[in-house]
Amino acid sequence: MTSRSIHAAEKTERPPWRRRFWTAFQKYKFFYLLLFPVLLWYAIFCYGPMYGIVTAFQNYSMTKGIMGSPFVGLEHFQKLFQDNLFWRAFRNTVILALYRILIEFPIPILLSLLVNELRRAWMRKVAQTITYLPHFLSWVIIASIIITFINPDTGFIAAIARNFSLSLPPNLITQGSFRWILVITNIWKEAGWGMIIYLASMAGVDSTLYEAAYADGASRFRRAWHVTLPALSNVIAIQMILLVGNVMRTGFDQVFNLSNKLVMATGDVIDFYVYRTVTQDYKLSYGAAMGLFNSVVCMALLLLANYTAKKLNGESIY
Amino acid sequence: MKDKFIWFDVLNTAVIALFVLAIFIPVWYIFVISTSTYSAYIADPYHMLPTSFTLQEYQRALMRTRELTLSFWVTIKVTAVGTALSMLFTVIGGYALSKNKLPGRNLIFRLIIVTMFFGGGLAPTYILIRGLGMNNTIWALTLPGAIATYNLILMKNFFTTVNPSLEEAAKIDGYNDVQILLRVVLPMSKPMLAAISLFYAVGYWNDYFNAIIYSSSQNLIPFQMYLRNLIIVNSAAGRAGVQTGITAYEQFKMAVIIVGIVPVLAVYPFVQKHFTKGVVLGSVKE
Repeated sequence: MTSRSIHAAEKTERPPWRRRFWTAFQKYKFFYLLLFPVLLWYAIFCYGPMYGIVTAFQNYSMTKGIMGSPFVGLEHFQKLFQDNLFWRAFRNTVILALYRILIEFPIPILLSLLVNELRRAWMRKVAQTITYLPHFLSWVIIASIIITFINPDTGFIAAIARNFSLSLPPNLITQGSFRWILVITNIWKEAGWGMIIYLASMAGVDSTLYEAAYADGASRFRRAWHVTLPALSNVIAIQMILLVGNVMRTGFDQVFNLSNKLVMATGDVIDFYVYRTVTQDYKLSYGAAMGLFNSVVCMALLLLANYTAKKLNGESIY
Repeated sequence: MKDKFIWFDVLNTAVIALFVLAIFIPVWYIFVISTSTYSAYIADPYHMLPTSFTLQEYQRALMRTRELTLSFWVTIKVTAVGTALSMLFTVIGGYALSKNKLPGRNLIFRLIIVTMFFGGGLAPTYILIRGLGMNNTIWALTLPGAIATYNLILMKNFFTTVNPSLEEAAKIDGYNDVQILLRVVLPMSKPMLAAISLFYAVGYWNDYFNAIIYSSSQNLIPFQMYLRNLIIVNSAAGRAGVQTGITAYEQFKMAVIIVGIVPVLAVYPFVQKHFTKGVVLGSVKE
């Protein structure tokens, strides 16, 4: 109220912008002082690399720097479109992304609905506590556990197979199985964590809705379907947008720690190929070009997901 | 509401129990091996029942493997320095951005949000960090990831919920801006500060990527990288300094994995208390 009347007064007699800026600055100088190091950090570590994208259009060399390296236009992008290794990684990433969206995404939703139906509070507590622990372990630790567990000679799976006199292939991580290993291990690590946000949203559903549905004779399944699930739709939409916006950057940690040279045909993903290009082949400009290409794809996917969710659901992230 | 106990409850409990077991068993398996004597390790290929118990390989790992203890120190240093830096940036940034009337706030906020979805990528970041001469220093392992924008937004959202009339009252009592932040706002935000520092600390504890690209120095190998060389790469370099004989090598490796899990388990109760709240708050959009 008061601020509006002040604005009205300002309209008749506005001080020059410079003075207005100065008084605002005076009033908030402490907060600008606090912001300064933060903005400096963003300028250097986020916007700095964005500026560095120009190297994608150069033949960058460390010794000449960004200013001195020759400009080559779209040469690296032309090379990119003819690079079979890149398209292999691209194709694998798209397939893995589809697995992430179609198989992995619904699992925490389903699990949270099931956990929510558990009768005893202590059961719900135990289920949550144990299943979200792996989220806090690094992929190095998880991969170490998995490699030991499924070791074809000494692992647990091998021991069981021997017990039933089944013969296992000499290596369980193969071209054929690798994608499924990525999917299963990611569910193992993240599904419990993914549940939390849905369970928290369920806790916020108005209990009178359930009582009304119960009074109308709705069974537990019908209440889950007609009350719980609609209450989650906004959260589901936001989680889906966030997933789709980043899904082309998926898999690096897993592939880096679980793959070997023999599974590259199905296992190589874009981020892993970029990593090798940059740190092993030192093709910095080519790496920058691949990174930019992927960033543009990610951005397009994000906008598409956001637009679709807005149309369907009225929900968006901005 | 009273529902009858039906077959669905039995099935549901069984499904959830199976999932919980699937999470638990591989970790338990590692633990049992790590505490097995060689004869017990050989006798039972399932390693589900702890028929023997020895901490010999833990002792060897933590006291007599110089490479491992060194990597542990690197990780502890990185976690401490990194978390302190991260919290400083996140608190001051979140606090300033929580002031709704701050001129320019919306523009700044937008510029920050953009970085969540668009970035330079690996190659330009690599060029930048090398260009700044940060490789092979602890700064390469802490500074580039010092602010997680997601956490900054969490912090900002939390500060917005602090009642502004309290700050006004403190001002009337003669507190200056710094005192208001340190003596009024921060003490009220303890649970959130705890949650976010744990987020950061776990992130630094688990990080290996920055070390792999920016550190070639023997003195700057963090624990996760040591573990990776030991088990995943399984190279001669990874085995350097390991004095365990062939009979105890598996137990030694498993002990190292457990050593990496225990600190996370130790902070887990606090995580439990605060994280859920943080995640839910984080889903509240601007």
